[in-house]
Amino acid sequence: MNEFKKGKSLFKKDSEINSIAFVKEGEFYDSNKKYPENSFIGFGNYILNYPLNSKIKASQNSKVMFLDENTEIPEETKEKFMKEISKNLLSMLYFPDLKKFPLLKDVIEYKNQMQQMNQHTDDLDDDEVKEFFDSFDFFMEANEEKVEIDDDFDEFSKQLKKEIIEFNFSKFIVLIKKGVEKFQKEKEWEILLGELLSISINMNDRALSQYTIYISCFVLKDLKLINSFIKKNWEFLRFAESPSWIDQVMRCFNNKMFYFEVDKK
Amino acid sequence: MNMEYLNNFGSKVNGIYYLKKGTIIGITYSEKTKRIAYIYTTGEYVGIDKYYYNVGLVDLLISDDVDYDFISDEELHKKLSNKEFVKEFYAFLKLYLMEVAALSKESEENALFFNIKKFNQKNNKHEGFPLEIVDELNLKNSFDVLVSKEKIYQEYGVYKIKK
Repeated sequence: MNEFKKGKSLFKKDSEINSIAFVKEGEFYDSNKKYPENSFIGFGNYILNYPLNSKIKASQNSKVMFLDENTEIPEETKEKFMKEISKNLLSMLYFPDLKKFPLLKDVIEYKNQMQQMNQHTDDLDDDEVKEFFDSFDFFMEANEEKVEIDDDFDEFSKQLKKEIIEFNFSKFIVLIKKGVEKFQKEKEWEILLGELLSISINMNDRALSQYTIYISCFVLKDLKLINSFIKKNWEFLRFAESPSWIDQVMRCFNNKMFYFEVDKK
Repeated sequence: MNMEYLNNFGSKVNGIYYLKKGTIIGITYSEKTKRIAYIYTTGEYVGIDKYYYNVGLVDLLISDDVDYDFISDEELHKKLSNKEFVKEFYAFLKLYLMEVAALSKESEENALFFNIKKFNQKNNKHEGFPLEIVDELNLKNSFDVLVSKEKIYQEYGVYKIKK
């Protein structure tokens, strides 16, 4: 332990720092601040090897302990020593963005905000874009499976519902593709697609409901009916708290505006 | 991509990690950005930032095949009584804090470039900085700046340093 009487210099200005001082008792000061009991002096200077920019003096009779790479860390200072490292580290890590010492609550809040932003992006990826592309790929690639399609539309409808309820989605896709080609003039599509949409909503399958909407757009000619399906789907998405329901609303209004313009001509 | 993080940010961890193998990406958060603040490599102590608030403020993303020892606070305190360990620990601190200090004074662009370079040299799994990690961290814009300045380029799903 080293004793310093009031007014005595601990470190001189511009001096090279060969050890860190830990204030055991008393207090020191420099031109900017005070160093009370249990604080470190010259920590950053010693570690980063840069000189002090002002002299440090005892403001009262004080005692200090010197620490360097050749001395073990005394038991009573270990916790404070690690805390001092952590303080210096956090200052430097956060300096580029914050220009000040990071506050715990602020940084945790920043991370939460970032996560929410990511979740929003993830939602879009998962719920809208990803599902669309998955179902689209499925639609494009699911032409290998051999399925027989009935000549009767009612039987075809039963086949479709059976496959969807039994989760045979590849068969369902192939069937519906063939059905769209085969029953182009069939008037019962409206009822069938309405039922399929209800089933996919009951199954809570957003990809399937979205897919049914696309098929409706291919098959149905009645804009109001298509819009009623889109509306049903948007209510489902909104209930499922998917932000993509707003896109469905926009789609519906775009359809209306488009046909309004076409009608005028 | 399934990202794995070492338990640190915002959580109470009763110790730190000594990295025996691999690289860990240290991420910091501010109001509008997140930043790759430091690339931890073999032989470094990770998670020291937790001692000030008792919870870490750096997210630690595992990016390759990593092996580490967990050193509990109790163990660390014992080690701090060992002169050899203390000497070694100071040597680590000097290099670590000097690099952090140097990065903190660099522009965002230069600091990122340095960290990509370090990652590419030290990681044991990827041919460059993986695009998947960049996407996951939402850092594409920052990487694009370096691409537009022809400092890095993207190839086979990773960012490489232009020679």
